[in-house]
Amino acid sequence: MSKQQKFRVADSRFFEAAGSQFIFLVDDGTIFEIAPALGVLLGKFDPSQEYERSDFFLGKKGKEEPADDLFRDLAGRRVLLPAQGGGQVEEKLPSEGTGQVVERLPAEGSGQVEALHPAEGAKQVGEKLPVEGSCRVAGKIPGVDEVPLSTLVLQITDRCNLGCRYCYHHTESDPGAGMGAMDLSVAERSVDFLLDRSGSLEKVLIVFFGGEPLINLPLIAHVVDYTEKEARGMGKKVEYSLTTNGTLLSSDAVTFLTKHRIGVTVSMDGFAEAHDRYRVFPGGAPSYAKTLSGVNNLLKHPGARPSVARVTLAKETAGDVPGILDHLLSLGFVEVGFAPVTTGETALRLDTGQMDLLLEQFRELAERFVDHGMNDRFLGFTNLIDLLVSLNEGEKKSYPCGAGLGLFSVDPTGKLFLCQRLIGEEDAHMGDVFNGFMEERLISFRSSACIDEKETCCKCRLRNICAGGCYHEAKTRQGRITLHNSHYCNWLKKWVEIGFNAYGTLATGNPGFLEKLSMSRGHAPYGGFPV
Amino acid sequence: MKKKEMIKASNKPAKELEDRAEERTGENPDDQEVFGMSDDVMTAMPVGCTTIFDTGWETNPRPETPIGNCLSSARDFTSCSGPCWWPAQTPDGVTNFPDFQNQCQAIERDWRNLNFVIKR
Repeated sequence: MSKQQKFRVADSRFFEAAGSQFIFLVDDGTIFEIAPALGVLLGKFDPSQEYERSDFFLGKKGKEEPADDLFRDLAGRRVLLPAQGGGQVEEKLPSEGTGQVVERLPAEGSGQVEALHPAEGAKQVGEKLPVEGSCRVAGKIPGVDEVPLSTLVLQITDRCNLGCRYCYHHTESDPGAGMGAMDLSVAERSVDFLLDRSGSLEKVLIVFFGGEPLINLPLIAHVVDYTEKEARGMGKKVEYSLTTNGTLLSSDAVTFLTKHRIGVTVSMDGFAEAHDRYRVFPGGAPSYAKTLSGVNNLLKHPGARPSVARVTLAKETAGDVPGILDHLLSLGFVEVGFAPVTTGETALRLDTGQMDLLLEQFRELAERFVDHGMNDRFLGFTNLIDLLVSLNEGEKKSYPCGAGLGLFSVDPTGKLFLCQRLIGEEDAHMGDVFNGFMEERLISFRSSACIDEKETCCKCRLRNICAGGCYHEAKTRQGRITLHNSHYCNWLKKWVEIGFNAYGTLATGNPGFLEKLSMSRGHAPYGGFPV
Repeated sequence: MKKKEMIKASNKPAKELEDRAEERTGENPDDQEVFGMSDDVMTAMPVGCTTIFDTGWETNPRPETPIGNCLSSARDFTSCSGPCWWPAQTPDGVTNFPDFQNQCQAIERDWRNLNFVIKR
């Protein structure tokens, strides 16, 4: 037997909710409720130091046995870890049979990628060295063919019938402008590309995006037709979704969307006053009335899939969040998600005071959500639902989103980009659907976008929740897609605190509700779906 | 959380980890018996015993004794408590059964006499 093994306390964050105390383990994504006494005990140890086993239970003389049990419980739950200085146990997730924590790469939409860090024996792409500091190497960089393609966003046209003042597709620097509609051969080739590269996935997702995709409804119809034929031959199921401004949701369009089970996200900024501030026709005419009529067609259509609204918050609308949520839910949307506008223009974007105001409103909505949840009632506040599901599943993100992993977008000429927001950005250009990926570029992106490469993030306790934030935000605000969203760090930390509190309250008060939320996002509840 | 409980899993990966930890440490060592194969013992595959070759010599990843030993050796510590073979080819002649060899003057001839042992 070797010399005495030393231990350290795992990198963790304590939080309180509903009178109970919790510990969140950063590297495992696990959350445990703990007795206050244990919180006090663990708080005494410096996570950067190594300790002897006996150090953990000083002053417990005569009670060695129960203390021993506690030590074993903590070690078994990886709250205490063998110190690396011991040199014997690699610090890594336990291997199979010893409490495997599945590490998922997140993917946008339904494109949950189940593959992850490549299995043993998979080729290693690029040597990864730990960055100085507390950074830990999360895993190998997935090779080009190691992540199946699960979602393809088709920019079927770059034209739009609206001229929203904050839109990233309508800046003068937009190199994508003027490409017009995607033609049939590009669309078909894109579908083939998705199906060919989807590996063993049974389900893949096609997203119709624009511009305004409903301008080009005939192409959508053609793509669906073509895809169904091709997919059937391969035994795959394809889901469709579409993001629209709602103004073109005629009853014919809605009938078509419903018939083909196409999920619809409507960009709508709330009640008339909020909506019309930025969402206008090119001449400046307001679009609320037209959007509302389309939304009514959609939401009142029998058999339509539940639809969600996406709200872009800019300067003047940042204070209306609860009112906007209530209004959109009252129209019949099942969920509403909010995002501050992504823009380099200070005239539009939220300033610090408005971001604080936004946080307070999110806090208020989170409290309402928890009140509802304690009584098994649902409130469609997407931002919080996503966060709670992420905490409940213990998702560990090496990358902030699926872009460049299982998700890509195609512009009207067939060029592949990391995501729909980055269409036209040269550093997000990853190949085209005719010749495939530019492999070196893609690998270089995957290497530098990984959380381990973001030096500031390495020391952050939210690194596995946030993973650095949106690439498009980073490009717009920081100048490079692989930089972290430092302008949102503090805000995000406070938001996750709100999420922890909501999580802890529900976990003690109505844990079944959290499971339902997870299931609503397609996750199996703990122990699997009942047979 | 129950009274006296110090830590309880909340989210999904925590529950998975906790269940596995409980499986491994749930049994009280005092209740455990050491025995060999007989009619009333389920003859399951004696996973973890030295009669079976392990596929690899990875080190024990668990934060438990014997930390860092090869997996086969690590399994001997944890797996000889169930319906399983004695972990090594010779009985424990130092601590628990100092006189075992009285039954077994020549191991290659008298090994059958060893039968199995139950520690009370």
